[in-house]
Amino acid sequence: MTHSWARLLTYTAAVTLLLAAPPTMAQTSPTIRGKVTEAGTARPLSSAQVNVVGTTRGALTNADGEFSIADVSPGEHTIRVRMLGYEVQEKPVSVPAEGVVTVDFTLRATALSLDEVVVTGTPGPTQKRTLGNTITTVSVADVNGKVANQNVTELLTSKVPGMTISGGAGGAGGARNIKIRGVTSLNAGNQPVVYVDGVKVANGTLGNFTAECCNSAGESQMTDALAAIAPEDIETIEVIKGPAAATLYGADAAAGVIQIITKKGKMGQQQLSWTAKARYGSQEWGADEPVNWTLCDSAKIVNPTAWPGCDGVSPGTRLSQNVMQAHPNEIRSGALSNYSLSVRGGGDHHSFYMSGSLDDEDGILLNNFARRRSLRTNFAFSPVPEADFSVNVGFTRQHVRLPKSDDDANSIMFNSMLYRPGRANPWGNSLDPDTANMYDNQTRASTFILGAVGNYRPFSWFSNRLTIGYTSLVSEADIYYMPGRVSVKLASPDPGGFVAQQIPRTDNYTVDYAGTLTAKVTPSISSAFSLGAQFQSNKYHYLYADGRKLASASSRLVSSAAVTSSREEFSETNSLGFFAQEQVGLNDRLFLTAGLRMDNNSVFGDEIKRIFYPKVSASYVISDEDWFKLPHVENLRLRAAWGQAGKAPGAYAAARTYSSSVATIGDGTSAPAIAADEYGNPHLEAERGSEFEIGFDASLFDGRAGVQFTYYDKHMTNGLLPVAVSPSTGFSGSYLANLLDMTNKGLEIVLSGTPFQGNDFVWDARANISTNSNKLNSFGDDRPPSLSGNYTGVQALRPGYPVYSYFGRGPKLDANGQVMTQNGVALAGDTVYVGPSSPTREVGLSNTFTLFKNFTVFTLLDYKGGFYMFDVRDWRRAYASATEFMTNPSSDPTQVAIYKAWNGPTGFLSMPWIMPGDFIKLRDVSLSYALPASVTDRMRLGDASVTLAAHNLAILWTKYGGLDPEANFNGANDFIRTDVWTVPQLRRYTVSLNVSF
Amino acid sequence: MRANHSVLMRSLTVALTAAILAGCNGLLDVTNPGAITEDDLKNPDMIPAIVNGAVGEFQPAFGSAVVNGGIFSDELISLFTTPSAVDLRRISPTSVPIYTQLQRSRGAADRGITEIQAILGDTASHNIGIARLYDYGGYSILLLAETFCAAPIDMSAAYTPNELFDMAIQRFNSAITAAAAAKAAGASAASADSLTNLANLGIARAALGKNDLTTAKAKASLVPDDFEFWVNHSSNSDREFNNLGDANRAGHEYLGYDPAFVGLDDPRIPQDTVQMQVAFNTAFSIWLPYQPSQYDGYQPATLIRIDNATSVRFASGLEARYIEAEADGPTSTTNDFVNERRAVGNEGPVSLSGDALMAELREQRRRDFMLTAHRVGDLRRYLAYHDVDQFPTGIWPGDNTLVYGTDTCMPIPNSERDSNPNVD
Repeated sequence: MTHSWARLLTYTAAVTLLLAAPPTMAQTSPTIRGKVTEAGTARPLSSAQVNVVGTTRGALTNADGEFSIADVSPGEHTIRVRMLGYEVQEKPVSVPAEGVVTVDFTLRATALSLDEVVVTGTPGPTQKRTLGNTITTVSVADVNGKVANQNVTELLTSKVPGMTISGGAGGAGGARNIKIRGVTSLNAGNQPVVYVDGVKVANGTLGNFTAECCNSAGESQMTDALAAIAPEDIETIEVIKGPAAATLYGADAAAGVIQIITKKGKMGQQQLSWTAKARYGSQEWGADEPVNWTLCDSAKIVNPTAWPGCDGVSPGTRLSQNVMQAHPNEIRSGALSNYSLSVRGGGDHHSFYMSGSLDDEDGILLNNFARRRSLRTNFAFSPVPEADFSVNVGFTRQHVRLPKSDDDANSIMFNSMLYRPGRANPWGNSLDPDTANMYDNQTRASTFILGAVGNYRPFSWFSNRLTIGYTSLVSEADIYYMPGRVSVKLASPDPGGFVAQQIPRTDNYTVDYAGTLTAKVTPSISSAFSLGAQFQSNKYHYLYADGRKLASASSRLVSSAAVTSSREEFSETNSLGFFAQEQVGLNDRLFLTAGLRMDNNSVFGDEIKRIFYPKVSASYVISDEDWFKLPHVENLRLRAAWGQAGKAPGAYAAARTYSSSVATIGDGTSAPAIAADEYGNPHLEAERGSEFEIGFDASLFDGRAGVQFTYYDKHMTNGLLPVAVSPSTGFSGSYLANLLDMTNKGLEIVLSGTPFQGNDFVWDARANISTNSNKLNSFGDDRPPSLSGNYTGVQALRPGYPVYSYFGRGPKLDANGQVMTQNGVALAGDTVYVGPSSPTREVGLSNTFTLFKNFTVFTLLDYKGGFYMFDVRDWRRAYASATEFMTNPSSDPTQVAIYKAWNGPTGFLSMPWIMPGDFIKLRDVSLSYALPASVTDRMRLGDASVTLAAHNLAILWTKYGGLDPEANFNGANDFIRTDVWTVPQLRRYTVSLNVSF
Repeated sequence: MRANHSVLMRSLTVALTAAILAGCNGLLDVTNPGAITEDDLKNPDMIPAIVNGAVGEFQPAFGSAVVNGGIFSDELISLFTTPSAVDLRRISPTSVPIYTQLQRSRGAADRGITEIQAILGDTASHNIGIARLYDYGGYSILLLAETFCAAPIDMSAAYTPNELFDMAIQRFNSAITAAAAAKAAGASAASADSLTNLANLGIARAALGKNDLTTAKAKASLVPDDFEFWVNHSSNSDREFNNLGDANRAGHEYLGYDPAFVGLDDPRIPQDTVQMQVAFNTAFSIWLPYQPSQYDGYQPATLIRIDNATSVRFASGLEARYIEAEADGPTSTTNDFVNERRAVGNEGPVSLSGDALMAELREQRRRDFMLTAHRVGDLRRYLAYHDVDQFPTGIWPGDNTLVYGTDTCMPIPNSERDSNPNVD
């Protein structure tokens, strides 16, 4: 199947290239040419969108800011230029019957543009000024050139107020967790839905094996399906944050929507624009390197076999070792390389974009890497002015090898962090790095994204859009434990060797129609009425096979094992939704919108036939009023929105089902039987999110400053919770019911502007500030609070507190306030609330300094605060007396007693290890040099630049006492914030060369 | 233009509304090849699998009753890593074994009857599968009654053991009726007779549990000496394993004979001459239980390990004779029967009467039905109706520090209490 995708992509590319061949004829048809420059600096602006209003004709400016639109019908036209970060500009032009007409544009940079357009679910672009809610647009094409990021998730980090991206382990190919406006759900997932050019794509993992084999137990790093989309192919990402904005996306959008818009060509453009990029770099351990200690006491000294390092030393001698430097094959500098080549352009009736990229990334552990090979072809065709069609095809092949990591006694990190200097086998669990590096867990994945979009505008007041999409993610995951001594050390499921393969496959189908009728009801009142229908289907098919007891190390096929087993799973969900929306505009400054979405879904219970999600919003560009006069305020928009959206349960959650089972019958043979399986819930429906948001957007000081302010209040009801099935029914387990009630409230503030602008120095700055206050209001039934966690219960689900917030036990105090101990170990006191596990305050501060027009310095500071982390790593190190403090005879004995209370006489004493996670990181810093035009012209290049970049350069400040407050032992998990032998985020350095021609 | 707009807008709205009302629900139909739906169960071809479903649920339920009932009574001692609350007779409602498996088994049988009746309509009354399901449902409830202090059925309030015995008897009577009808309709006579014998024995056992000795004796007398019914096990899948097979496999041993069964020198309860170290708890040793007399690989006085595929005879003519003897009381017939059983145990004849004879009858019964899920019901019955307490008491022999509790039955687990509003 993978080959058929590749073949389809090849055919598409061939057709595109044929159509893309530059014209050989001289341009005698009517042509509009011009140049777009920045006001104030006269700097040419590349990639600005130039359109002939009311037609599909347009162009993108090249590196010199020039554009050319051929074959424009003679007559009067309006030319519109758009570029993110600049005010939209329009100019009239009179096009002659033949020949060339020139029109130049000078765009004024603005910190805030209300005329910016976004994707909303209705046909065609929508101006932000008409929306009652906020949508954040990230110009990936702009950002990607400045940073040493490897994937979409890294690119989005700290760019979107309200979007929290939590780290996992530092390494190649690992996933991070994305949440928008807090925790939305406990059991239906918190990941936003992701669309690429209007087509829904998989956003989970690639289907890797967890580090503890076969997905059976333990927490582990997961792979990231979103990483299949090469950043080089992305033009912009739009983030729709919650139910108020996502109503039209229906029953699965309560956690937000990420719209990825890939790069396109422009019709009318008559020249090819090539872009090539090469990037090299390395990444390395990104935190302090711990030092472990051993106190040579008499017991060790008299046992030189076990403790040769203590042989002959005097009692009290201490040995120490930097644990990350104890073995040459423990960690390394991981190599990075990225190559990409793209071309875009367009003819009279078509446009295209083609690209290919190769990305290789090595982690710091020797058996960790991620490879990505990506191809994309976007092709658009407009046979008549009333219609256009586009086909967008992307194919990505990923290959990820994950190390044995995190909460695993046989991971290299466990063995390093509990390294005991002086011991015969000093590694924590006696597993040396050379052995650990033999762990072999690899995932190969193919992602195919096909979207076909047709737009038809039979009348100027009637537009239609039909999107048909298909995406596929097919993975092949392999895990292998060599037979013999190695497998024993690696805790193989079978000491005789073990091999397992799994092939998860996810197919998504999208059919999406939307139509809009616009009308000028009166000269001052406009109407836009939209209707739409959306069908989505998701199919998941999973094959698994394993083999135990391998005859030799060279036999790696499951079929070659002595004992084999297999498993197959399948699930399918279909959803169907309809929406209607009416937007009334008054004088192009007040916009009132009301909409209703109706959804049904195969995952709903039989008793649920349809669910309705309403929305209303208002946007008022008050600054357009004649009477509006506020000093230094050019644009001011007030907005408010309320809406609902859902979060659907998983496949088959509602149905009562039975499974195929087996019974041994009288003759001893096994016969097929039926067993009760899922109890089901015929009343099951999607979780419902209701959100109110209110705010304003303001442009100040001649566009040099912008403010966006939003307050949101998101109320989740009907949250899914498992309810135990009464065993007396003959079923067991649990079923899902709509019970939970939860709120998220917060502020989102964007401050942007140009604090200084001179001829040789320009300073652009942007601060994304957000807060989130999450509270679990009610379980919806009388169940007691629960406490869960790794090693001991530290994260609670308790009404009145944030979801999975931390609760800990400090030392028990006597009447005099003294720590109570028993045999030198502190007793644990009562369990008390500590704080949230998710950041409640976030600030992303980016600065761009342009010096002498050609040098650009970019910095991104990232603050996250108001949350706690559980540092199991250092708890265990202290308990093992492997730290300087625990081996120092002068250490406070009370504190030593507290640290020794791993599982003391009255339980785990967790409080000292639940630490504030607040930090400020220098997330990105880069220096770019753009070669001057005099040089690029001589080299016949359009544009060329060199960029030196660093990622995760430093933790500038933190309250956290562990290595890295972002190290989380399950990066993809929605709730866990625990550092258990997790590799800190890696420090990365790159140098890149970007050339366009 | 405005007219066109208005017409089109209305048309679109009407079309979309029509589409909604027409019900595009067909688009929402999905397949679920990994599951069987309630609609699938209406297919006549499913009847064998429906019946096997109850058989398949009874296998692990019975296995759990053998192991946990054995631990709870005086048959076994569990020396897993931590002392067992079941072994200590201190069962917390947070963790109660056997209950869910027995309820699943009861549920599978009761549902199966309803499903087959829905498929076959009037002809269901003489379907041999129905008879089998009544039997399995009856025995599931019988074990609930013998093991639990009380138990609800299908979200009901909790029933007392005697009420549960009555429910079991109802099912056994229905099994007899269905088996007779099936036999008359041409079903295998051997199967019908076997299921009838199983039902009669079930009624006798339940009646004995209620101390209804007349019914017990009358029904037991209908069961021929050579009758036997097995819970079959297989090494084919985990679900089919004999539960004791896992606890007994080499390198994994942690269940041993309770001291009450050690040193009997009875070939029905084969026993090694030396103890075996507990696999997970090397400070302790156990007397490993080998296949007793009701196990399919049993050879008198021979040490044959119980494995995953070892089947168990759970109902037999022998049991019927024991029921008759117990119902008869201390008669000469009972003494003769006791001597018959003593001979099997290589013991000489005795001439006993009164309580001594009944005590010897109890002694022979526990040896004959070692590890067959009879012991808990027996101990409760002896205590309730004969003032004989044979539950283990005093110091738990596992570590000589813990003391046995006083539980004589298992409580309704919290999993039921929390989810069933009719249970306090």
